[in-house]
Amino acid sequence: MFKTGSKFLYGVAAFGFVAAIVYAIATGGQKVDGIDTLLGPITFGYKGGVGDHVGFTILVVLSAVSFFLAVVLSALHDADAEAEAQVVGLETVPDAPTPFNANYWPIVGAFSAAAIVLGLAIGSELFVIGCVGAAIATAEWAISAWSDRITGDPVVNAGIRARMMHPIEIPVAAVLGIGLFVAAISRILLALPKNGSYVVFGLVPAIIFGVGILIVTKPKLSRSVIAGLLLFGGFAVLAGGVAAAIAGERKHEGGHDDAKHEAEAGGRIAVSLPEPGQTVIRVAN
Amino acid sequence: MALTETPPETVDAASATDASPTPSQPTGLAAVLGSGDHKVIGRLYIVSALVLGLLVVGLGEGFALEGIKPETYDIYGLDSAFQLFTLARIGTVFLLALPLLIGLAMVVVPLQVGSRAIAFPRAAAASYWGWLLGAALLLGSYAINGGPGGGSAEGVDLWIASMGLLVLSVLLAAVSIATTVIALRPAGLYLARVPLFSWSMLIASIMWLLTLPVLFGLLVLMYVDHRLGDSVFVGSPAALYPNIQWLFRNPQIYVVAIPVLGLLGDVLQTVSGARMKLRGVAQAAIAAFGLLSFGAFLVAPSEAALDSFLVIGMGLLAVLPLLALAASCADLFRAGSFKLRAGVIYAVAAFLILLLGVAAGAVGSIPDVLDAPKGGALADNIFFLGVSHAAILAAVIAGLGGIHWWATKVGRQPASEGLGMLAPLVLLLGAALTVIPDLIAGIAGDGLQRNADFTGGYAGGNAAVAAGIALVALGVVIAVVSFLPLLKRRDDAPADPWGGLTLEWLTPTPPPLDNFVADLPVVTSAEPLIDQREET
Repeated sequence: MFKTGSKFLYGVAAFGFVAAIVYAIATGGQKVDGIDTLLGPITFGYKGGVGDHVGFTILVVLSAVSFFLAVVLSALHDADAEAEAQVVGLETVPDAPTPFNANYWPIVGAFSAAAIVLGLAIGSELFVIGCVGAAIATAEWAISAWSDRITGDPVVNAGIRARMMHPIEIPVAAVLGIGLFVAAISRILLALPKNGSYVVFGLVPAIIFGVGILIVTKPKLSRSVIAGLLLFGGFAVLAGGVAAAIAGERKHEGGHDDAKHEAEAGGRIAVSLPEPGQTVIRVAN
Repeated sequence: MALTETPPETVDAASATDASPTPSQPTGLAAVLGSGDHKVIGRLYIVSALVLGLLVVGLGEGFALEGIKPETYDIYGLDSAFQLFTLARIGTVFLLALPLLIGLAMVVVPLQVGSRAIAFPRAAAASYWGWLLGAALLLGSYAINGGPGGGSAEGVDLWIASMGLLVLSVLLAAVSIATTVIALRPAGLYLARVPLFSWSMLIASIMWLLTLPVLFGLLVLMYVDHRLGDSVFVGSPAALYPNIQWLFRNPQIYVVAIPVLGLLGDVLQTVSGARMKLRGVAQAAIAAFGLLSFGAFLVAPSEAALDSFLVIGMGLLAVLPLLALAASCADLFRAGSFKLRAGVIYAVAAFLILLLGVAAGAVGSIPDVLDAPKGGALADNIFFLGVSHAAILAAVIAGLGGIHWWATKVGRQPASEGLGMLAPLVLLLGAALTVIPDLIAGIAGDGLQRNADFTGGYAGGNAAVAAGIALVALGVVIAVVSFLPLLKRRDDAPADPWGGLTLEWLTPTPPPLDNFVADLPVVTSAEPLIDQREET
């Protein structure tokens, strides 16, 4: 029942509890006079002081968490393989499965977490994007974890997962990908000088067309090359889009026309106020 | 009511269509990005930690050089010195020592405990990518004038949030490693029989899991406070740093160095070729050291807390487990032989530096031995910087030593033995020169506030520290050069170059995806390969 791992955690629990009491007394600034000194720490501050509250709380929590883990380990015989095998009625416990298929959701999850971190510092849009990414990664990860264990054959598992998830994944990924791409390119086009935007407008479709031809004519092109090309292209467009969004739109010639267009469309017009010395003539109908 | 049935032949055809095309396994970059193989993830951690580590060591060297002329700013500016100081301190732990050891553990621990995979392989992968992006954002936060003492509010927020991501990633890795040791052992490999490196990683992971959430909670509080007007951490953003200083002083800093003890035990036992009679003592010593390194309760400590019986007792007692482990290892050579290997020099060098740091920590914890530096608190004494450097450098030396020792598992063939013997000697000398001047200056009551450029120490001592850090950088470079053969495939690379005693040496070089080619032998002792040899 009490094996090495649980003994260690029981030890940590005992250490945490004794340490909490010693620490509470040592930082309490009270005279040591019998049971009264101990009463505060033992009753967790209910019947007396505990000195430095932060340290005392952390040590008590250390003790409680360790005790809980120790009890769990005792109950499970420290996850002893032989004990587990007896519980499930087998001679031996099967080996842990090797992760056979590539799974990109951990990296998507990590990027989402990074977007959340950036969003926490810079702006709420990135935070929302990160949260959406994290939610998608969590759901996909859960599906992958389930499908990895359906049968003992990784190829069959991959097939089952594909049949279940591809009808959802491919359209959603396409919509998201195209949306992001268009948004990023539009930011770039709005930020670049007029002639630059003509160049980008011509160059980007040409590159996409070229990569498409490359993939179609070289069906044996390695996945790494394709992944590298897509990653590079994606990053370039997104980074360009973000940079362009930060830099802002270029100054359009004929700003007056913009206001006019806006007025025609029913929008609000910014009316310039008269100069201080200017005479204003009001005409009543 | 219509009844729709699928004809049997259609089902067969559909099944055949689904099952027949075997999806080809991705290779190269695609395989790396999507890998759940613990060896690939571990290698990524190791390479990234070494690259970022050299940057951090370079920063530290800049501070030591800065300290040679304490009255002037020679390298860093008035505005950036404090920020870069915090980056150097945080970086040595979170960008160098911890990821290096985690990477090594990710490769070695599943092999040592006879598992075909790490527990939660995808979580292990996520921990690496999260850590890498967290590290990039941390560096980015300093680049935009963030970090403690930074002038940009967004930069300070980004620093706090990226620290949170780093902590979560380390916790995820710790969960994977600890669960592998606890739950993925084969029949007969009880925890009492687990190799000492894996045991030390289990203890270290548990201690990280018990202490780093406190840091995470603190970061959440800092973030909320900073966004809503600095009412808790009053003052400038620089006031944030003292609240995480407990991470870098003893006893908490020892949690980084717990695997040093496991490496020493494993390497010395293997070269001795003998069974460890005092294995229980060695395991208890590692566990006790882990326990005595719990320092989360010293978050923003008062003077009274630092002088409490508990802190003094923990500081003094921490030396004993190291001595007990040394005794257990020395006992091995009564029964076994001794062969001088590069791995032995690495392990002993790391242990000696750790012993220096822990012994100094014990001295420093005795009341009235150290004085509070002028204008600062006792915790600001530069003595504790020396103790912290000792623990971190011991962890780095152990990490490099582990890569050398398990080179045939980390890479494709053994590392260069000649360079491998030189590197730890250079590192040992460099570490001693880095640590000892700060300890001497600390006994004289010196603190980081003494000098205008935030370097602390004395000019002469700082010159020695500068030489020491330069030697550490040189040692790391020599070690990395000695690892270059790991990248090259060699058909006749030995699976077990040292005559190993534990299960990891049964795997071929390099280990395949599922680690073991044949079925493992039934484990009946802590040295299954000795049993196997005795049977044959």
